Amino acid sequence: MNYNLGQIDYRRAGLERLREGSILLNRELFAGSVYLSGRAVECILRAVIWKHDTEIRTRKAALDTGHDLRELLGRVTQLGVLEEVEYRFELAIDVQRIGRLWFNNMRFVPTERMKTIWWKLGESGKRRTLKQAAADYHDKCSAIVERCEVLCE
Amino acid sequence: MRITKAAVEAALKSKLKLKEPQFRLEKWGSLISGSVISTTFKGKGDWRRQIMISDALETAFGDIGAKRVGMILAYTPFEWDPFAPPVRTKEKATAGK
Repeated sequence: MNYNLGQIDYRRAGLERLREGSILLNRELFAGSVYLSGRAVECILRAVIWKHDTEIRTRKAALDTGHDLRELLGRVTQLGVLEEVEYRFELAIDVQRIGRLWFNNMRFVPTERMKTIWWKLGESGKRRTLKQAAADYHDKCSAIVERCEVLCE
Repeated sequence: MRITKAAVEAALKSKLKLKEPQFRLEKWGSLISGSVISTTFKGKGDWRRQIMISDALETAFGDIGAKRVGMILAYTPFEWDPFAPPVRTKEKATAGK
């Protein structure tokens, strides 16, 4: 089914998902919070691509990156909208982190399973609770959304 | 200077002495971006990994490297796919035989 989603939809959805992620975080519903905050990053990266890629916007080409944040970021880089090397560097650090901690199938993952995966990744453990890790993750997602918001204007 | 995907892969592999690297690089337009996966990155933070990549590319290609190479993200195999079955190394496969 074609929903004809475009830049404005993706941008608004990104901001909504981020807000919803924040609400779930405050209620200590971590898996849902992490899932939605990561989805917010996907939405805002898609919005940037829609804004700057004429082929995608006019539907002459399809965005074949799937939901992989790492590939979406690669596509954003190619658009030439991240001119400053320093800016690219900082964004890369944040997306590298989120790309490691978020995956599309997270929607099927209960909190306990996510806790195990994050523990194996060294994200949470004895010195860092899942709550702290999830809050930090949400902050990083917010930072990416904020940076990409500028690129959508 | 022409910077190709192969040249970027070779530079990262040799300068960082990457163990069993896998590359997921793409060239769109004039820029090369993507990810590199290696156990070499285990235990290293995100900032450190980006510094490693940035230094390696600068050593190999000079200032032009920063302009021609978009963003390269660094992961360990487990970080790239936590659900992939563990890879049996030669040592493990022959252990106990």
